[in-house]
Amino acid sequence: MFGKTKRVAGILLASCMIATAFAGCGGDGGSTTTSSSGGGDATSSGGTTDNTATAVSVDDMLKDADLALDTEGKDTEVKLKVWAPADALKVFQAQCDEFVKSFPDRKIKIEVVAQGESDAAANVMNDPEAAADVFAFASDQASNLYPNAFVMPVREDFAASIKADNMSAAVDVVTHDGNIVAFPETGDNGYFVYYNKSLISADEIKSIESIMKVCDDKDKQFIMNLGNGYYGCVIPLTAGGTYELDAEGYQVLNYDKDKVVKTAKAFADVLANNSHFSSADTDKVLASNLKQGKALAGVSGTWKKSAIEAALGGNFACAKLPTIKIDGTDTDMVSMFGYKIIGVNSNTKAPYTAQALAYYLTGEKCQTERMEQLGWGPSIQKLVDSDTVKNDACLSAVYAQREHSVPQIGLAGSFWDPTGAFGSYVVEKKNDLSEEGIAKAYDSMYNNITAK
Amino acid sequence: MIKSYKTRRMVGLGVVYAILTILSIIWVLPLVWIVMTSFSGEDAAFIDHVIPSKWTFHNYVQLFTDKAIFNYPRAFMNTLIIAIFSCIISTLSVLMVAYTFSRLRFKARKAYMNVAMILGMFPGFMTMIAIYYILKTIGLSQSIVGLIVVYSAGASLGFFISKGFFDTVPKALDEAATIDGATKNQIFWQIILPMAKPIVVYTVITSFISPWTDFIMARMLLRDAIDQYTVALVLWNMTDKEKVDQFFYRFCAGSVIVAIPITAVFLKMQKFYVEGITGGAVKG
Repeated sequence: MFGKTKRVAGILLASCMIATAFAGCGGDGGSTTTSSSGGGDATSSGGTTDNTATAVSVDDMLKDADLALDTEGKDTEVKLKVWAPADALKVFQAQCDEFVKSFPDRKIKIEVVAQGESDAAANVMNDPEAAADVFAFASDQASNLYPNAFVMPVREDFAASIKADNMSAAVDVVTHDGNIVAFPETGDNGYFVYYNKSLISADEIKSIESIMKVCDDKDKQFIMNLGNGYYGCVIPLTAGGTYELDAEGYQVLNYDKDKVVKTAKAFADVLANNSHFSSADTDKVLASNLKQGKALAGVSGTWKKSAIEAALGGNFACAKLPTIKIDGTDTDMVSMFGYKIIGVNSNTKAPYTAQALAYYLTGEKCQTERMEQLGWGPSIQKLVDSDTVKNDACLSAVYAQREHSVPQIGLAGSFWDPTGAFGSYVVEKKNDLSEEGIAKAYDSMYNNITAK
Repeated sequence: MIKSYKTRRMVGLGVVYAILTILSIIWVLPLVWIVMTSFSGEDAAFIDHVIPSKWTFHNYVQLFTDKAIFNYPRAFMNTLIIAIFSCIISTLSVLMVAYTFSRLRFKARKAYMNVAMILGMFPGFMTMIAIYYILKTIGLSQSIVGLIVVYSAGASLGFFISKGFFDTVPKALDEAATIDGATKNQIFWQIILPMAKPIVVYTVITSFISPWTDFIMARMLLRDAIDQYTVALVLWNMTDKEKVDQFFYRFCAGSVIVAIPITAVFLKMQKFYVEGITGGAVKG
């Protein structure tokens, strides 16, 4: 495993040095820092990646591909396998075909295979050799993939443009030990409120108090799966909590106990005694309950968009998570926010082409296409600020929520269940919901998560 | 105390039937539910009433016509091929091994049987990872051929039941056949097998059902080879959180259809179950 990584890294490094030598920028001492061939004159116009100051242009990639020919072969066919979710297969295949077209001299064959992002990492780790060369995964799997070098570190010139173009949090989730190790693909893997705008207005959806009031008036549900750690963490995060992993991979929680307990008490006060609040599994029931008019709003993520849009039709609307009154002030709920990432398998037989492909797929052109055709939120800052995002109900809610979020990275497996248990404790009427009772539940959550 | 024998009997039977009725309702309800749901024309996937308000055959039609995301017909054919081949191979090997251990005497027979017994104690999926890497080395991973090999290769370890059955067939038959000049091979095919129909049927059914319903091995071995997927994998993927709202009713329809081949095999084979075992074999 490591041997192979070293070998590939060695090849990369060696070719970087050769590139420097060929570039002929004499200088003294032959430095190894220049790996991007800066002002390559334009010979090809295929593929229209925006040529910003830092971005690597298609021409650069072509040059690089020539370089790659030595190792990956001009005549030998390079075969790459790409993993993408089933419903995005066509878009990815078209983008890969476009990529192949920009290398007319080379024989590249790209096969796009359906593989959900949620278990891509597990499949890569089970058998890296049988896995795809370029694969998409969600940021929560990064902590398993990065330390064990399942993904290949990104070349310096690509890394520089990733850093320059993407939102800073998206860069954080692809950074490991200070190096960029993957390519940010989307910036929308978080949750927010879906609501039926014929039942509740955009103003009323802004605070949890007014939501619950409308629910009571109209006898409808508000659903948020606080019993699941993914959503339950809203309580400690709203209280200003953050998390990280220590050197041995154990969870470190930077929670202020008093604040978390106070925040939890606020959640309990609004939700626990209200029969119109449901902590059912939104992944299962939300679309159905909105469709049947049983619920007026609920918290879920981009993965449910098409189902809920189909369920609500013209009444479909989204908003960021509501505020909650803590100590008399309206406080924004803070959520956990994930990103989708494209990684290059460190076992790939064609590292140059694979990296170029991953770079291309996460570039501005492809992200724009996916935003327009699939409604996927981009990770490139320029696109996040674009009108397409502002005019899209769902995406604008995603990015509004992103302002109040903690990136989903640096989480140990022990985080989820205790956090969920705490969340469901807080909204169960039968529990002791005094500050002491909640403090006790908090302690048990904290100890279970940080136990070594 | 009730005096009349008749009344006592009636009460006793009443209680027994009541218990049986309750049990059968509990047992049948999930089946009825899935069949009903598979014909449901409801708009939403998760509803709070059991009996659908609208009925439709649409779910079945879509299951077989809409192949854009999940290709159920292909998965069905894959599974059928796997199950049929595994069934043929493992039935033959189980019966042959059982015959060998029942009738032939050779060195280390006892030792072999002990080894088989011990190996049989480990659940099959324990060796899953090893199996995967072995198949990968010989290039059979990610294909249904590999799955057929997996399902049939270990099957002959389960020869004990068949061996027990063969042991009950009188040895006198073998001896009579030998005197008439039959070889061991002929005895197996022409004397023992025709008399052992119930156990043949049992072996066929079990060795058909296990590959037909298996999920673990298929998932481990096939990985991203989508065109090789079995029904179990396709159905499982339909319940993914992104897909479940769209595919829930098709999932139910798919689950109902899974039962059809098993039922067919069972109905076809069942009549042999009741036939006498060695009845009328030794005459005169």
